[in-house]
Amino acid sequence: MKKKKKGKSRWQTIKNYKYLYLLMVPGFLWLLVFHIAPIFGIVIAFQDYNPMVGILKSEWVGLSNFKMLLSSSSFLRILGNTLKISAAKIFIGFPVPLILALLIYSCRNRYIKKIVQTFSYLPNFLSWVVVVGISFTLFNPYYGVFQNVFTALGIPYTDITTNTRTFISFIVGSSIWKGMGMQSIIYLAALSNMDMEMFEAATVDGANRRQKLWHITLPTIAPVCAVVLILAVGGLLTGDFEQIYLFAGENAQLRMVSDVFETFVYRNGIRAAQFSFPAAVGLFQSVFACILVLITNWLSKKFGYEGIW
Amino acid sequence: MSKIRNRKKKKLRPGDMLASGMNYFWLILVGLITVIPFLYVISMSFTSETALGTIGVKLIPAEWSLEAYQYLFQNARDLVRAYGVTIFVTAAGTFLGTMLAIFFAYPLSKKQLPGRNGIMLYILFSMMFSGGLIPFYLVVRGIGLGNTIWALILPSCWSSWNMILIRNFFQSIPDSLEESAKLDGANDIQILFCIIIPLSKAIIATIALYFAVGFWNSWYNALLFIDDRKLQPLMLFLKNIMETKNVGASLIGSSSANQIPASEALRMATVVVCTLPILCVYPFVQKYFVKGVMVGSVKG
Repeated sequence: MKKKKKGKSRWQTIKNYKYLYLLMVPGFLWLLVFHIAPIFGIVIAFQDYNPMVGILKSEWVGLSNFKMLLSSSSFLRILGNTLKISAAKIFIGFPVPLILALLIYSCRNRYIKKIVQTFSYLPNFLSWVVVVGISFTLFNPYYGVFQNVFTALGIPYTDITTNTRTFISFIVGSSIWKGMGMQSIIYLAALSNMDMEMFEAATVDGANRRQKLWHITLPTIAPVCAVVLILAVGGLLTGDFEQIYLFAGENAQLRMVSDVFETFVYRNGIRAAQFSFPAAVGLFQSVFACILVLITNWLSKKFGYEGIW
Repeated sequence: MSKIRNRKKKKLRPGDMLASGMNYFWLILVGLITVIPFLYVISMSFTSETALGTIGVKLIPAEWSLEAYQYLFQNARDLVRAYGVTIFVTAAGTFLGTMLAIFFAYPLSKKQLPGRNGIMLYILFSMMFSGGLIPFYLVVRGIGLGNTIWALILPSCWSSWNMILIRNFFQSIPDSLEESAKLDGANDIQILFCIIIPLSKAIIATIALYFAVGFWNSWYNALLFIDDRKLQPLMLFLKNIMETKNVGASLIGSSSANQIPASEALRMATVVVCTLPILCVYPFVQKYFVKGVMVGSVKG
């Protein structure tokens, strides 16, 4: 009897919220079509998918696509390139917005602060098409600005945009230029919530600037850093398509260092209209990225910071 | 705040002077690094082609000229069409995306909503795991969006991240406001439109800006789903212009096989014309922007 009553009241609450559930319907529909349906579409990674006959009638081939992936010579190269580029982005790109936020926070001149903030957010509003186009122009070996600077200094200048040895630094540099201002906002938000009285107390106790930075400021923003790092690790295998595709283009020489999962899937899947093998590559990438997030989140919690859930 | 001011008035020690000097130095360096490429682009677009060839690129044009812009506007049919596509996509996409996010975030901001935790868990899962490019491509083509303008809008008008930012903001609004409206007989939808949305202008402006920038700058979906040149958005148009002329100095002056003559000034003028609108919107929303991100990013 009691149980039945409870069930009824639960149904009653759900009914009370009927308008709220109704509001969520469009979002659910979106997720169903553009997120859940593609997840079921993964089955083609286990098939020899033929677009003419559809998913239901295509031949099942088990794990042979994955076997092909692991035995192919390009797999290690792509995995290596992806990890190398992402690791460089995290190790070099992660501290920059943090330092910028600290610089902006501790700046005493209101005008410089405001101007630098406004300027540094601007590149984020540019498309990669524009950023890459401008870079090619400014770094052009014949008439680019940097060529002039280098010649003035007497250093020989080679085209670093198409050089395999400078490719990664170029990728990392351009993404720092584009993103540092915007990424610094989240740290600035954390810094502005900082307790000023702790600073006063530390000053009274005779702490110097470095000690205050090390023992007050950094511990305050450490949880934010942890969340940003977890998300960065989650994006380790994705998110570079636009930049890399535009920078490397169809340059076959650069492909040795520039080919990552996403460009590989695009070239071999969409362009070549071969769906099953690239879908297997994509699935491998998704699962691998998911595992990385789980590990980082676990590590973060282990070290006493909050995870993302 | 007054404490900070007091401290500022105190005489600075030499160590502090050095530190704030270094601080200014690095900040100004960052400012210059970000702004100088913009200045070069603008300068190049106003320099005459011959001066670019002989004198090179200067921060202030060596020889002022409007010929790049003149050429661009005389041969603007493709540009105008691409502009039209992008404006429609940006307006429709921003509206749809923001609405979708608000409608989803408001129920999720209610702590007592049955099933809330399960839905949040699913949203987190959707942020981490996806089917990948190929199934996504097949689904979008499969439901008949291929080669339509909706392929540029619908697949990108959801962002779980933005939705969570809005939800966090909604959660920070005191419940008492809603309760009093409820006592007056308002239902949930009336509360959302008459109380919650007007109070959340900052975060809504922020999210709308994110969407607008994303839609304005997107070209990847067009690369995947658009075969018809008439439906090309601005950034794909720009990409084609950039690439047909990325051939180096040897091509400058001599016209390539493309209908548009190879020219650095023209390329930069196109960059300016394609980027200016979205950069112009930014100062108007900036004051909402930082505030919105700051409140939204507090974990809830």
